[in-house]
Amino acid sequence: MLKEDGIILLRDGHPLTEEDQMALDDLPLDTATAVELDDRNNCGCSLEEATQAVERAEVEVTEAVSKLETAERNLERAKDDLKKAEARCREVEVKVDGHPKRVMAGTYLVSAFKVLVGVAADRELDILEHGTFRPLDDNAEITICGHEVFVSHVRTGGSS
Amino acid sequence: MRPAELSELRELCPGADQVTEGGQNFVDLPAFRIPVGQEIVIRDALLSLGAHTGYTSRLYLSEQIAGRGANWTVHTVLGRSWHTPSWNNVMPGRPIEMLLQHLRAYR
Repeated sequence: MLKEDGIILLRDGHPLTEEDQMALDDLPLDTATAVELDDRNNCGCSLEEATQAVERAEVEVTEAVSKLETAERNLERAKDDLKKAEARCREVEVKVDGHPKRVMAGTYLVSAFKVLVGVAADRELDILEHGTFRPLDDNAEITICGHEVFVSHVRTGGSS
Repeated sequence: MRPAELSELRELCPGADQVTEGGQNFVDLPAFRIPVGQEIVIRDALLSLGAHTGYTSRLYLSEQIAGRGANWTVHTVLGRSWHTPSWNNVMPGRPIEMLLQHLRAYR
């Protein structure tokens, strides 16, 4: 350890070795002062300052994670919206009275759907669901995704 | 009955098949699923594609459906007893259309 005007010279937090000291002695005075100052900067901060820096970093990380989560949620919402928009713009095939018909996927009023697929307004339209036919009210809505099977028929038959 | 018409019926009842008796055409519909209100009732069914026993068409069932249909009667067709309500004026057409007209009796 070398003391020079009350200053202890350190390198990387450790006292200088004899070799360091010899090398230092060979340097011009200004350079030696620069090395000393550099060493003090590397390890001279207080524990309090370091703790505050860590706390600030933790706050920044927390904020960054929160922003990332928000961004991920927004991305998922955007993907869902895109999927719905694509579904609305997609042309699909359905079967009506045994004939394939191409229509845009989406939600229709049953009466409007009948016009679209060429079913007369006075006929009842049934949809095949779970192995049986369900009659559709003309004022109800129906969502077309593709591959639906419909049968239309006259509204006749009655108890005699 | 054309193959396409039978295929349509098989989407509804996989065991559907055409049968004849005395020159009359029928469709045999084993374990046919009948919508009754919010429920499904399963019956063997036999659909006559032409006039039968005084009606324009008949849908015969292996058993009555309680609370649905009126004036049920029993008939023997193809060697089996069948039950059918009074439900007339079903218009001739594609078999599946005729079947759906009959099913309106049980809603």
